[in-house]
Order: sequence, then C-alpha cells, then structure tokens
Amino acid sequence: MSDALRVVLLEDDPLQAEDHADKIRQWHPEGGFDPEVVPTESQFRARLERGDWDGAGQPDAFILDVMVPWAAPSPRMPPPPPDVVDGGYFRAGIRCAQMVRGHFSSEPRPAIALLTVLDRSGIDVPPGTRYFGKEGALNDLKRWLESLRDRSDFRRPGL
Amino acid sequence: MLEAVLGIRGLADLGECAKAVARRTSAMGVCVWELAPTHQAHIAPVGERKLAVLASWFVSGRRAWKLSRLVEGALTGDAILAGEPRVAQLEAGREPLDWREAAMPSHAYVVPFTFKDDNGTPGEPGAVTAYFDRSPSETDRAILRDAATAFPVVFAAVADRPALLAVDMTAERLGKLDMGTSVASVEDVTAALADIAEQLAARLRCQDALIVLNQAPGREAPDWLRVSNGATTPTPEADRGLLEWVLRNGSPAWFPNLRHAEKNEGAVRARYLSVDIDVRKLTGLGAPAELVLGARQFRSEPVLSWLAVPITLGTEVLGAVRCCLAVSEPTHFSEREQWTLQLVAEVLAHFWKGWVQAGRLEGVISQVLALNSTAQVRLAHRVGLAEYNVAELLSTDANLPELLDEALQRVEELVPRATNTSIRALDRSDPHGRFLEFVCVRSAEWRKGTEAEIRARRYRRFEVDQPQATSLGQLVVRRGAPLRVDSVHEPPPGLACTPTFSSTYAMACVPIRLGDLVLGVLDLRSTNEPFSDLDIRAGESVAAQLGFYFGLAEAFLSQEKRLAEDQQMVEDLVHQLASPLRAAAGALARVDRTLRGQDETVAGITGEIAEATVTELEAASRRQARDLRVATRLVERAAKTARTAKLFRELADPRRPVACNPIAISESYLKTLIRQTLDEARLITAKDRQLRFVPRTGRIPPVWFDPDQLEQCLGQLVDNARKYAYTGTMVLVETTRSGDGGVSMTVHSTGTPLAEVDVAKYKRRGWRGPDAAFVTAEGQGIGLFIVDRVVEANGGTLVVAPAGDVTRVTVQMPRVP
Repeated sequence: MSDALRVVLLEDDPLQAEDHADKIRQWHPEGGFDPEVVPTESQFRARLERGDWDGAGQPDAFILDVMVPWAAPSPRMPPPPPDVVDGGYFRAGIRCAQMVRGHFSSEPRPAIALLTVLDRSGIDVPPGTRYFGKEGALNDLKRWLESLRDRSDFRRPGL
Repeated sequence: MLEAVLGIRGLADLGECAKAVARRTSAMGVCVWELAPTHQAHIAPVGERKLAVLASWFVSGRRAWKLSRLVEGALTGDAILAGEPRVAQLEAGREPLDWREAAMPSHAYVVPFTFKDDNGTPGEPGAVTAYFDRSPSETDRAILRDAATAFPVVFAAVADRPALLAVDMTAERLGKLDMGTSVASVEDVTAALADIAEQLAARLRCQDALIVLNQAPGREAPDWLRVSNGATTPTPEADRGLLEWVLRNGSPAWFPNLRHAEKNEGAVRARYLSVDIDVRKLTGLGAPAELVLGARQFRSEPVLSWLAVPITLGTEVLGAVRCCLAVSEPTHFSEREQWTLQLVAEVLAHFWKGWVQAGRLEGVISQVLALNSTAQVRLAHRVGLAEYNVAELLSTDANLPELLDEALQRVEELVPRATNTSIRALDRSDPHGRFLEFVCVRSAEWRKGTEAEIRARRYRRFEVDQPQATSLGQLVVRRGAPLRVDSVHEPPPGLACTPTFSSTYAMACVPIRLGDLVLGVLDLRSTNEPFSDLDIRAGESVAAQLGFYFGLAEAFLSQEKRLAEDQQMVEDLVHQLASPLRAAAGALARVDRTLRGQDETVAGITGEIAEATVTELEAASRRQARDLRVATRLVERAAKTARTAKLFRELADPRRPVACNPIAISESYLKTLIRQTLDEARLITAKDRQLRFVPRTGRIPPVWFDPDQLEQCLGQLVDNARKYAYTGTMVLVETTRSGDGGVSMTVHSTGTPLAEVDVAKYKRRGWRGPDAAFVTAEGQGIGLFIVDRVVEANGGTLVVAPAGDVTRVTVQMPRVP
C-alpha cells in the first residue's frame, strides 16, 4: 500500500475540483499526495457511513468546500435528511466536518480543513478544523499538507 | 347597503357588483335587471358553477318587454308592479336564463327597485333576481333587499360610461405605480394624481378638479400633496375654509353657489389651527400639518358650484377630491357626478393606504435594522393604540393582549353603554368562515380582583361553540357591514341570538376589515338599551384601526421576508462571482510565478540545454497553458454571472421598461451562437456527468431580437438545463420556424422535474423548484425571471412545458418587421 498522504476533497465545481486535485498531486510529484474528489454531500455521507474510509482506507486529511449541493441531479436522488432540508447547501461542508469529527473518535484522527471563498467571519468553523480561504491560500494549504505528511502519527494503521 | 356593492375597487361593470352580492348569499346566481329598453341588462353568474353564460348585451325594446313579462309573469307575478320583494317557485321551461351547465334552480327571489335619473326623477323599474336551489333564507333576503337599494345608483353610474371611465382610469393610473418591490416616488404619485385631476375635470365637465392628500411620512415633499388639473381655482380663502370643513367632518360638501356658501359658511372658514389636532391625527406626522394652497386666483365667473368628497379610510380622512363648476346659474352636481367623485375617492383611499403603508414600512425597517431590532418604534402610530417593540411583535404575539385590550378600552370610552365587548378572529382557512376563537373579552362582570386576574380574564383563547359562531358575527362577516340587534328577546327572523352573558339586552357587531377582507368581528353588548348609529360608527372606527394594524403587521412581515430573500440572493451572487474569480486569480498568479522561474532558468543557461531541463520546461509550459485555460473559463463564468446580476438589477424594478435594441438576427448568427453556448456549457460540465450538448438547427428566417439579450437568454436556458440534467442525458437546442413567421428556439433536457403546478411560478423572482437547491449550489431563482422579461420586451414569449422528467423551454422570437 502506498504511503502517500490520502486527501479527500469535497468540491462540487468540476473545474476547481480538477484544478485543486492536480495542484495537490503536483506539490509532491513522487506520489506523496493522493487526492480523491467527492462532489456532493450525499456521496460524502454515504461513503463515510458505509465505512469506505475506515481502517486501512482512512484518509489523512479532509479538505471541504462549504457550499456544496446535496446530490447530483438524478431520478434516484437520495432524499435529503431533515438537517439538510433545514440547513440547505450553504453549510454542507460544515456538516461534513462535524460528521468526520464524530466518526473518527479514536487516534489517529484525520485532519480537517475548510477551503472556501466565504470569509471566515461568515461561517462557524467547527473546533479542530482549519480554515483556508480559496483566495491565495493554496500555498498555506500546501504547507499544511506537507506538515501532515511529515508527522508520523498520520501514517495509516499498519504502515 | 351600498358598501356591499361598492366594496369592489376599480368597479368594472354591473356584473362584478352582482357577483359581489351573490358571494354574500347562498344563491346560485344573481341577476340584475334594468328594464328600460335603452339600458343594459347584466347577468352575473357565480364563478365556479358557471350558471349563466350570458354576460351583457344591449336589450332591444322588444326583448326588454319580453324579459319584463318573463320576470313579472314567470318569476314574480306582480312583484315589480307591486314594488314588493317576492319569492317565486320556478318551473322548468319557464326560465329565461340559460342554465346549460348547472342544475335548474327551484326558487327565485326578486327584489324590485326603481331607477332614477340624474335629477332624481323615478324612471323604469328594475330588479335584483337571485336563484336558489331551495327557499332563500331570511339572511339572503335581507342582503338582497339591501343590494337592491344600491343598484339604482350604480346603474346611474354605469349608464353613463364616460363617468365610470373616470373611475377605471383612476384605478388603472394608480395601479401602474408599483407598490410591491419598491415604493413609488413622490414625483410619480404627483404625476399620476395630476392626470387623474385632469381626467376628472374633463369627465365631469368641471372648471377645476383638485386632489388634496396628506403626505406619507419620511418623504421630502410638502406636508400635503395638492394636485389640480391646472385650470382656474377659486380663491384660496374659500377653498381653504370649505376644504377644512370637508376634512374635519369627513362627509361630502356640496355648494351650488360658492359665493353664497362663503357668506354663510363663515364660521366654517375658521383658521386652520382650529383643526390642527384632527389633522395631526390624520397625517400621523406627529406635528401640525400645513395645508398648502395655490396662489392662483379665481377670476371671473359669476357663480361657482363646488363639490368636495373626502378620501376616507374607515373614519379617517386622508384628504379630499374637489370639483368646481363655473356656470351662469346655480346648479347641483348630478347624482352620477357625485357618485363618480365618491368612487374616485374610494380608489384614491385604497391607493393612499398602500402608499403610506409602504412608506412607513421603509422607515420602520430601516430603524429596526439600524438599531439591531431592539428599536422601540411607533409601529402603530397611525393606529394610535400603543407603542410596540417590533422584534417582539413579529416574533411572538406578546403585545397582542395589550393591543386588543386597548382597542376594547377605546370602545368602552366611546360607547359607554357597551358593558361587554369582545374581539373574535375569523378562521381564514375555514371555508365556512367560522370563528377560530375569542381573542379578547372585556366585561363589566369581570372587573373584580387584582390587575393580573383581570387581565387573565380579559384575554382568553378558547373555542367558540357553534351556535355563537353561526349567529350574528357570521352574518356580519358575510355582509362585511355592521349589524345590530336592538333586543335579543326579539331578534330578527332567522337570526339565532345566543348571547354570551345572560344580562345581554342588545347586541352590535362590526366587522374588522382590511379592504374587502374580513378578519374578524368586534362584538358590543349592552345590558339595558339598544345601540345608536353613533355607537356603531365608534365601533367601526376602532375596528378599522385594528384592521389597519393587522394589515400593517402582515405587510411588515412580508417586507421583512423579502428583505431576507434579497440579502440571501446577494450573498449567493457574491459567492458565484467570488468563487471563480478568486480561483482564476490564483491560477494566474501561479502562471506568473512559473514564468518568472522559467525566465531565471533560461537566463542561467549558458551552454547546451540538458534534456532534463527541456522536459521540465515543457512540463511547466503545459501547466501554464492549463492554468490559463482554467482561469479563462472561470473568468468567463464570473463575467456571465456578473452580467446576469446586472440585468437582474435592471429588471427587478418593474416600473422601468426593459431597454432592448432589437436587430435582424440571421440564421447563421443564431446557429453560431447556439454552437458557442453549447460548447461553453460542455467545458464547464464535469466529465463524469456525461452530458451531451446537441444543436438541431434547420432552415429558419431571420428574427428580430436584441443580440446581447438573446445570448443572455440562451446562455441562461442552457445553463439551467446543464445544472438540472441527469447524468448521461442530452441537452438539445432546437430551432424551428413558427407559424407566425418567427422562430421557436427550444431547449430540451431530462432532469430534475419541474412540476406542472409550478410552471406558473417560474416568472417569480427568487423562485426555485423544490429540489433545485438540493442538486446545485448555483442559482438564485432569477434566471427564468430574467429570460421571461427580456423575451417579453423583445416582443416574444417564453413557454415552459414540463412533462415528467423532460422539460422543454421555448423562446418564441418575432419575425423581422
């Protein structure tokens, strides 16, 4: 199994998702960063609840956009749960951050960051979550990811 | 009972009056007949039942005779001849109306009336005929009898179409002043009123028409808005004194000879300050208002007839409409002219209420926002009941008991013989119009104990039992007018009186209204004596204030909701603009940095270039090209959003016409535009959605459209299709020649369905389908609003046709003129 830093990106905009994923790969061309894009909140929740990211599959970091739709248009769109109906897509990333925090209750816990165009003052950043503005913050994000990679406790169990 | 008929603002024809009467009864339909051979007969069906299909027609002498015989013979026998209301048992086949789409009525109730001409001379008879499937109740009969007294007057107005046009024109002119999304300016209102004064003067053949209205607060304008048709006006002194008289008394003033009136009404022409308090009450300005009069002098006519009608809202006088006739002999204004003026005043009052309310709301909202919702604003200033904390008022009904209690206290002050008073709210969701609950009761019997105990007794919420709910109050709600029972021991036939308190002797009930909408009733009960007309007027005054207050609160809530929606919309737009722009800026910054790095690398090369360096430079170049491509697309998207936002801002004000510059657009231009739009959509769509963007363009003629706006519309429609399309489906743009020589451009897509019942809503700004916000973080519900307005401005139409998951949106573009 690769010892690349596994990063989950929650981003609905395909241009930005592709761009960010490429950038993250390029920051460590030798395969040090392994980004995976999830475009909707429903997919994110499903994968988390299904345990796709448990055990050996646990990501090292979650980078979450804040305003993300619930699901892609589909005749079989999963029905939105009450908290999504009430909160709307405006705070999808924050809900996901809280779910990740609750899901991984034992060490080593994945790192969580919000990557958004929203001003920090406009959102309630959950505890233990980093905030990166999309404007000119990619270097900060790069440094943050590199610092995670350098820390041994972010190696996945078994490595 | 004129109110029953004239409750409809912007009266269009008698059919509407008949419908209004029919709604207040349980009749299947109501017809109004005027049997003079030269007048129109109107038959008004009750909407849903589609009873009679005949609307109105000119009655020939022969037909009038035939109809009159039918009415007299088949329905009422000698009812009209005898001048008495009559119930007739109907027989199949002897009915003059066309009942093709409904069950045959079994009974008719005919109330005759006599038409009077302008001089009050009795003319041809007429009748109100109501059709029932059972014997009409006493209540129905009473309502119809009342209505019959009103119709001759309305006939008089209708008979002279030019006079009625003054009313229609007034309503239409004022209706164009938008009160919804933005408050009409003083200039707009002044211009509208000047037009109305002009029309009035022309319609009534007057020398001069003048509209005086108190001014909405918080506006930079004179305290009083005074608009005339610009013709000669009488002397300021005379005008002032008489207008004051009208404003103070709230009833029409009518002087056949103004000079005579001047002489005898000297006392009336008191100094303006003597009515200071009244005016202050009326204007709600909190300060004395000055009546500004023009400087023009009345010049030469020997006699001046003068008619002024107050513009009233409940018992409040908001202003007056005044007309002058300069004639050689003293003359009266005809009944028709008086009614025309009164109807115009009604329309003006309705408008004025809306404008003042809107202006006041602006002030209230800005205060609340400025003081972070803790402001103690005088929300009910005009109502004069109390001060309220707006935030609390809107979040809870904490202030309601005090408000209602104060209202009842005022009733007690004004009507001392009302020993028990109560306010009952109507359940507006109940089709039977039953009362939901008592909301407030105040009784002499309950004024014992501590203040808290008294208050607890006064304000109670409890279900009302059915007998009470169906008695006096319900009747009043249906009539929309006050009613009194002089003695509950001898109630009118058909009215079940079950008084709350055993000591009740007389009852009076007044509707709490907001325009034509009845919100509840104010109940007055007396232990030993009947109520007078003055008591009823006092009750009406308080009820009008309550109605106005509730209207104000409702309007405030809707304005607040709108503000919140606008704020959210702005946030969304900011996000949609900021997101791609910031990402694009980042990409360009990276390109810049790498270029500088490359420059340094190239500058450092002195000999043969190593292969690794070439590879590195090539890789960097590819990254730059990609970054630039991404940045370009993001900027394009942001620019499109910005254009949408700009256009939306322009279109959001419905008073402003949509500026467009249509030209002939050729087939090749349109095809290119469609192809480019689809290419752009393809580029910004995630590959894993596997959407196909397909043009299907046949031979089409040139169309007449603004090219920029066409691009905007097409981009918006394709963008909508892209956002909501299912994975693996196709977005098809098709152009075809339409029947009228124009072109239909249709965007077909399969995706998140739009319910057929929601089709009518797409034109609303800010409306989004129920699932829309769950499948995309883009969009504010303004796309179709914009497209609809733009297409309309270009002379085309927009048609949205959903069928399950498939939605077809068609823009019908006009041909080149």
